[in-house]
Amino acid sequence: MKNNQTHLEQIAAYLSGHLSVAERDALDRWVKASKENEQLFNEAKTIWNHSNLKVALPTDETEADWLMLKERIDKEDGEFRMLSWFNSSGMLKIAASIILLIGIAYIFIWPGSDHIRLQAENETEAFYLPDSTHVWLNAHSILEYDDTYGAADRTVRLQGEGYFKVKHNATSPFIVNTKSTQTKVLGTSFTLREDSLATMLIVVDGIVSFAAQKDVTKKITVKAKEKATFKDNRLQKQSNDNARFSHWIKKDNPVHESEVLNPLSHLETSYTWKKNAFNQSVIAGVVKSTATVATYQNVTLQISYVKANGKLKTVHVHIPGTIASGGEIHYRKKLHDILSSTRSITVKVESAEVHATATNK
Amino acid sequence: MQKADHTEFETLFKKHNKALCDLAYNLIRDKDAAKDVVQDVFLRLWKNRETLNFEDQIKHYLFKATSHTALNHLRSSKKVIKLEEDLLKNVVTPPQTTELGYQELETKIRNAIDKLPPKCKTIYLLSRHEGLRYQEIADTLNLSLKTVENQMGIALEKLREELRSFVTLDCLILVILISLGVFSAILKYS
Repeated sequence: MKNNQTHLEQIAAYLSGHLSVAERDALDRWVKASKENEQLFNEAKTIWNHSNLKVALPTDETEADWLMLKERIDKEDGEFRMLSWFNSSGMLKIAASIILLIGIAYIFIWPGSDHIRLQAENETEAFYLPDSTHVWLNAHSILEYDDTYGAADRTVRLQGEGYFKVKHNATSPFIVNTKSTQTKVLGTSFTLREDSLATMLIVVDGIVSFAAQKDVTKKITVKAKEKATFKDNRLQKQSNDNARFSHWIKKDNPVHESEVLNPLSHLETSYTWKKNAFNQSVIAGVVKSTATVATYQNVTLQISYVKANGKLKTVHVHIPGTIASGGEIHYRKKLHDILSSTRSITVKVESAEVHATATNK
Repeated sequence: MQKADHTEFETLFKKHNKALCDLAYNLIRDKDAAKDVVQDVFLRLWKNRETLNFEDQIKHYLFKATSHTALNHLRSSKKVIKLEEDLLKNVVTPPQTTELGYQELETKIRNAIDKLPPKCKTIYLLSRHEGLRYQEIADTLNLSLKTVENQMGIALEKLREELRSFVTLDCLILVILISLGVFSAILKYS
């Protein structure tokens, strides 16, 4: 029996065209060597030749099959896809505001399906993944994963912005896929945000690898206090000086509230001062915002300077324009102190207003 | 962007569905299961569409995925496949000869093929019907080349054993002679 099998293996290889010339010759010699060999060969050949009965389905039901598949896909993707099939605007933001859902977090687990989706509506929401990794999703963000999470790796898909405190697991890397990038870690904290312009990663602690989806082999390593962006098809890394970037994770966003109520605590200015040829004080400076969400406008600076006679003079300077969260605005001001030899100058932000539309996120 | 995804996907599905269903059906011999296999393949493709990038190789991917999924299905289902009586209606390649006796041989062989163990059967059919090279079969089903070579031998051996109980030696010899074309001229005019 075993012997036959070896020969049948050779015969099969011959019949399917896998033997080299030398091997074919060897088989030929073996066949001619005895009647039994020849019979075995002929039987195998007959079987092979008459194994051609290929079956197919009697009718083409592709149209119906397509409807069936579409239904399954819609179920998997939830209400978002239902809109997309029928209208041209597939923007998540629009779909989310149209669909009548109470503004709380919800979890989609379809029966029989292995796909889980976490979604934050109008507020920041916090979740735990099966391995106790802590995730905060900013408003209008979605995180998806399936039941292979935690096996060989921990893969999730992110739309929008998320803050991750990844549980350490050296054997199962945590991978976040966004539409255009892939971020990989073993255990660390970081925030990741993707919008239509760019993807931005900021690492709190630990080490994270960051790559474009187009070529995940070209990764850059991002460490604590560093930030990486993927924009206009380029991966870039720089140090992160905005320490408050992740404050939206506070569930009810008291930080955001404080940004609105207390602009002054989020604005600071630094400047240089010198006298020009006309003995005027020229102050050149920048106002920086450390807010994470709010945008400010109508910033007023208070400039106090001490004249030669020791008297204090204060002027107010209005700075036009808006300062986005984490942004800055430069200014340059000349004082009317030509006739005085000013001894010292202090500049501070006196007041600012919140830019209306920026607070609705 | 979303709309483009959907339209492309629909076009892709409609282009390949029939062929893939036929492939799965040939392997599994169960219409509903075959359709499920193909639906699963496309569903997985949809889910992973952003991380996969095929362009021209999509057909190759779909073929592989369908074969692989069909094999998995065969392994997990305990169904015994019975040849339908109107099998010949669904046949793509007609029997070598049109004489009833020889149709019977092909049918019997097909029956025997359907009785092969899942892996063995899939390998044999991918080779015989789809013309895949051994290495291609190995890649498609995630097996080693050695396994494929081995299983092809096992397939012939099992088929031979199975057919012994149906066909006598004499009949086989007759068939061999016929298939070698000795009486083909006579058959043409009968």
